[in-house]
Amino acid sequence: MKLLLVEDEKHLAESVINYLTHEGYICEWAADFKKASEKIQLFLYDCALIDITLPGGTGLNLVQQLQRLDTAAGIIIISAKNSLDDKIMGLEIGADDYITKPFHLSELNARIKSLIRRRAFHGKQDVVFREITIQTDSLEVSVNQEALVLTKKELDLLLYFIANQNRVLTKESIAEHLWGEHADSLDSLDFIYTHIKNLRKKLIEKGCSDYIKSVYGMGYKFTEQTK
Amino acid sequence: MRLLNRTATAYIIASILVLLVSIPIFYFVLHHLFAKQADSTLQSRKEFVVSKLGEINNELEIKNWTRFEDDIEVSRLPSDTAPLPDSIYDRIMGKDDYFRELVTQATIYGNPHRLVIRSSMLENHELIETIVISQALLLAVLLICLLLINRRISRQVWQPFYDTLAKLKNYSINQQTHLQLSHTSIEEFSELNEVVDKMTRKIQADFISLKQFTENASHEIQTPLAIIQSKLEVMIQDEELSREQMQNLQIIYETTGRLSKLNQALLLLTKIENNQFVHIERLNLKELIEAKLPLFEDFITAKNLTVKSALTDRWVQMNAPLARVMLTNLISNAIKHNTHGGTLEIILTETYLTVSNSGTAPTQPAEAFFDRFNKANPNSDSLGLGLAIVKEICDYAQFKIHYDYQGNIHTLRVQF
Repeated sequence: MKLLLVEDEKHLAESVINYLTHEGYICEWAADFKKASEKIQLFLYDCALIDITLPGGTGLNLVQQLQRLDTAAGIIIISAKNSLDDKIMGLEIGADDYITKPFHLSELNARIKSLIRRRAFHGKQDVVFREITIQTDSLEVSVNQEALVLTKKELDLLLYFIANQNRVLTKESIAEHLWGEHADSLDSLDFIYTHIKNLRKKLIEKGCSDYIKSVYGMGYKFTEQTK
Repeated sequence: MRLLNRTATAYIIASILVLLVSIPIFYFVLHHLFAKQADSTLQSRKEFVVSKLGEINNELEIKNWTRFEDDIEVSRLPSDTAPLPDSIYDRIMGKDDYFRELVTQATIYGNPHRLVIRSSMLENHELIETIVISQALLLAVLLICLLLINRRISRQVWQPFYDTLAKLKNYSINQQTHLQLSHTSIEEFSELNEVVDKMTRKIQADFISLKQFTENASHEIQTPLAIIQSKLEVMIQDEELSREQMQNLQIIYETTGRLSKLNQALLLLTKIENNQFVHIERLNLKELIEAKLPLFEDFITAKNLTVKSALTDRWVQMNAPLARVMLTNLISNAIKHNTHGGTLEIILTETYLTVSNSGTAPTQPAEAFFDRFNKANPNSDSLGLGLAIVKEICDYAQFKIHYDYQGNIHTLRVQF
C-alpha cells in the first residue's frame, strides 16, 4: 500500500511517516503544493493525506486534481480544528474523510485502514486477528467461528485495537475515538476502563488469550505477545 | 438635566425676575408722572382760589363760596398759628376713592385759614392699572415667544450633537461597520464628529488587530502542540522504555493534551467574538437535542441519571456547529455536575430551552458561572470554559442565558 502525505510541517510529517511505515505502508512525503501536484501526476497512490493550508496553494486544489485524474486513491483531508468550511468544501469536492489537527496517529491509522478497506475491497474484506474475525459490512464478530455479541462501543474499541495492534494506544486517543468531541467535556477516561474490562472479559470467555495489555497507566496495547 | 432645558430654565428665571422688577418700577414711574401733573393742576387751582378768597371779608362768605366748590375745604385756624409750608400728599377716602391733596395756609380777611384742595386720582389710577396690566401681558407674551424661538433654534443648532450622541449610544465595538456620522455645517460639531470618528476607527482597528492576534497566536500554538503530541505518540511505542520514563511521558502527554484543548477552546471563543461563524442555517433544536442525547448515553448510565425531556419543534437561525457546541456544553455540564442517581431535565418550548440537573447548592454567585476559567471544583481537570463558550454563543445568537438554583436543582435557561 502506497500513501502520499502532503504536509508542510516537517516534524509532524516525520512522526506520521514513522508511525505509518511501521504499519507496513510505503509513505511518500510532499512538503508543498508544487511537489504534491507533481507526485499526483506521476505516481499512483492508494491513499492521500492532504493538509489544507500549504505553501504555494490550498490542499483543496489537490483534491480536485486527484478527482480529475480519477485514481483509486482515497483522500483524507487534514486541517486545523474548527475550520468547518474546509470540511464541508473538502467532502463536497470528493475527499473521503476529514481529520483535524491535532490528531492521534493511532486515529489517523485507523481511518486510513478503514478507508482502504472501503475503497479497495468495497467493505467486503473481513478484519481478522488470529481467531477473531469481524465482518466489516455486517459488523458481526466471531471467535473461532462462534458468534460473539458486543455492544457498539466494544466493537468500535475492538476494531480500533486491531487496526493499531502492537501499538500503545493512549487513553486520550481511545476516548476521542469512542466519543469524539464529547470526550473533552466529560471524565471519559474512567469509562474506557469499564469498556475495556467488559471487552477483555467477553474475549477471554470465548477462549481468546488476554490480548489487551495495560501500559503503565499510559494506555493499552493489543498484542499477541505474551510478554 | 438636558442642555436645552438648562438654558430654557435660565431664560425663564431671568424673565420672571425682569417682569417682577420692571412692573412695579413701571407702575411707580407712571404714578409719579400722573401725580406730578395733578400737582401742577393743584398749584394753579390754589393760586386761583387764593386770589378768589382775597376778595372775601367774613366767615359766612367763605361758607357760601365753598358750598359750590366741592374740591375745596377752608377752615379757620387759631390766630397765633405759625405759618407752615405747603404740603401735597395722596389720600384715600373710603373704598377706591383716590385723591391728591394740597394743604396750604392762607390769610383771609386778616385771619389764618387752612386751605385744602383736592383732585381726584381715581380715573388716573384706573388708567395706570390698565396700562401696567397690558404692558405686563405684552412683556410676558414677548418673553414666551422669545423662549420658544430660542428653544427651536437651539434644538436645530444642537441637532447634529444629538445625532452623534444617539449613534455613539448604539455603537458597539464588535460591529463590523464604522460610525456613520451625519455632516454638519457647524464647525464645533463637525470637529467633534471628526474626532469621534477618528477615535472609534482607531479603537476598532486596535480591537480587531488584538482579536486577530489572539486568534493567530492560538492558531500558531496549535502546530507545535500537534508536533509534540505526535512525537510523544511515536516515542511511547518504544518497548525499551522503563516504567518511570513511561510515567513521565504520560504526564507530558496529558499536559500537552490539556494545553491543546485549552488552546482550542480559546480559539473557538475568539472566533465567535470575531464573528467568523457566518454560515447561518435554519435548524430544529429539537432534532439536534435528540441526536445529541444518545452520545451521552454512557455517561448518563454511569451516573444512573433519570433523563426527562419535553421537547417541541423549535426552529432557529443559527450556525450549526455553534448550536451543537452550545447543546453539548449545556448537556455535558448538567451531567458532570449531577449527583449520582440524580435527574437531568431538558425542556424546549417556543420561547426557551432549559437544562436542569440535581446538585448541591452553588458556592458562587450566579453571574460567576459564565466567567472564563471559573471552575466549580478547583481540583477538577475541566478547563472552566464550557459555560463561558455557551454564554458567548448565546450572545452571538442574541439569546439570553440565566442560571437559577431552586430546591437542589440547577437550571440553565436559554431565552430565545
